[in-house]
Amino acid sequence: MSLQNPYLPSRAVIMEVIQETKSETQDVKTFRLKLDEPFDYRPGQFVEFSVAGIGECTFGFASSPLIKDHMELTVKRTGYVTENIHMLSEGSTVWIRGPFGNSFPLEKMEGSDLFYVTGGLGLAPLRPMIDYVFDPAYRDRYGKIKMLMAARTPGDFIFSYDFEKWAQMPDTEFYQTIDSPAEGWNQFVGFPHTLIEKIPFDLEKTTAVLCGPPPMIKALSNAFVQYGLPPERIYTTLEMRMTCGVGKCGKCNIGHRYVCIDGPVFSMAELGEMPSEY
Amino acid sequence: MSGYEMLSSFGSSHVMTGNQLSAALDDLLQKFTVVAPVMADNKLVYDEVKDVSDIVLDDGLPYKSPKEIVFPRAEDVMRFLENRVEEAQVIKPVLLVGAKPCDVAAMNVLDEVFTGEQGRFKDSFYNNRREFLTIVGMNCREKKAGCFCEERGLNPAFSVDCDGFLTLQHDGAVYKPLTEKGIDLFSGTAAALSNPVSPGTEPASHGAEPASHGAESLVLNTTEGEVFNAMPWEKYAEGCIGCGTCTFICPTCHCFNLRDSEKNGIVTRTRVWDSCMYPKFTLHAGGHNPRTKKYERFRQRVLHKYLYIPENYGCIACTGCGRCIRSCPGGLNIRNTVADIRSRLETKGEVPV
Repeated sequence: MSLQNPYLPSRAVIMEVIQETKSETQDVKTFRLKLDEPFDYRPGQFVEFSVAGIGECTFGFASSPLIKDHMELTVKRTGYVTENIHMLSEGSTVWIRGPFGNSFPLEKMEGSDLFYVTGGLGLAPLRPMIDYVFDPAYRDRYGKIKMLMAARTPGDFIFSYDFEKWAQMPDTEFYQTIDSPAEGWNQFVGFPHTLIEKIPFDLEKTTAVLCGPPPMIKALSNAFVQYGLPPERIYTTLEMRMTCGVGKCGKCNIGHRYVCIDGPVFSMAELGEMPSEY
Repeated sequence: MSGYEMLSSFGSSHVMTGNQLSAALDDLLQKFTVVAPVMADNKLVYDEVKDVSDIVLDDGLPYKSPKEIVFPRAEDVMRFLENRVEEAQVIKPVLLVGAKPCDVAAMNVLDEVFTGEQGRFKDSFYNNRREFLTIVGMNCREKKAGCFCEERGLNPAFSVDCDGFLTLQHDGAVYKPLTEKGIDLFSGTAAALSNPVSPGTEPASHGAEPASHGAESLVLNTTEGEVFNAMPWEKYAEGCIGCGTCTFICPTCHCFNLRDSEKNGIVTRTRVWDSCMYPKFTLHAGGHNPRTKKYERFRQRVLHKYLYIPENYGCIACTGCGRCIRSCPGGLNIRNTVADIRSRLETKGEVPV
């Protein structure tokens, strides 16, 4: 992105394509990119990702900002642009502009226990924060960590190659759940909002960070609030259709907020004051 | 310092005869692409002027607004090269003559959204065009059905928010320069500003603020929480066929999309108008849609103009030009909608629909 013109992307080359989901559809891949003009970003921010001649889509960063030599974006094949992205391979040229949006308030969360709950692809925009907090340079700024990762089936988890590493981190509890029972599955079954009462956490010290499909976020945040967690300590990152990323094109407008510049990260206290149009 | 306070600091007004004005505009055609009210397909529109005699100054509000000068309905903005992109805008200096005060006010709204401080990001494509635009406003003498600019606090006789203003008089006009651009405009033309108005003959509208200024009656002093669910939006949106005409004809609507196309192996990205009245506007790739119903989309249009933009930019994004009211095939009426919301707020919802 040029400083003068936020619409102009710069070139990136695909270094590696990682097949994430193992279920029948195999519909999620992670693209590791080398940027011509690398930039710094904060966990929670996003980029506009283009394939020339096809179009542009919005993706949250999926890799830690502490990694400096590449950047990862995780893409579900679900529409015209993403189908075309999925056909790309190592060496392909793509286009990136960003970073856009606010970020998770990591300084404000210092001293908190953290409870991450994600559904499906919703893990991707949280991964920069997860890896940032686990980094030895920052880990002691945060308390205990709980992670509840949800997916439809065992084959639909993304970043499953990271799970063992995360589960073994000190002061960390790692849980997985799937929508309905599956052969050989010995972890949780059921939607995340039905499970949080089975995972004890300190109401006084915990900040919850959620990401997943909009219906899941709504059910889950309601469950946390009913459980007694104040909305000010529940954060999510919203998904909205976007074009510009800079608060002009009108698509991601909710009330007087624009998800692209006022978000995508909001606390439930902030969302509670906005029309429920997400 | 408000525009009205600044009035005295610019050059004094000058009288031009009709012939002088025509000759001056003819000279300016060499220097600018001149856009002015002209007849096309039996409609008065702001369009590029080929011959000065085509300009229709002594008539009402043109059918369409002049927003396409700064925000074209489709505009190539960049091309993809092998390892970089290049800007693809083609920009010429434009002189807009005869902009009615409501359309001048609309340009202020677009300026705020695209290039204002509150917008945080400057929209380079809009800014490039805006910097090459000179606006000469003109008094509006015909109130059309559906016009309600005075309720919006505008003065149809005058505006300070342009580079210069022409007030039509019998056989000619009085030109009041309002910016440096406006002072320089006619220098060196056939009507070089050599004929100042004689004392006491300055049009009254050029001096004082209009009575309606700052006393806008059609505003919403409310909150999102108070109106979002509490108003009969389904009733207001009855008749909407979702055509989007209101948004395209609106002088302040500015939603857009970016589309790629390929020709002779070169990929160009084009900015095209979009509309919040279309269900696909907010449709996620994954199928979820936060705004599936027509009344939700009409609510978005009304509140975006009367509540959200005022909150973000301090101005209402509706000038009362009435174009959406005159053009709506379903008979929707934003003025009556806002007036109804106001009366419900005043009486705490006791007004029968």
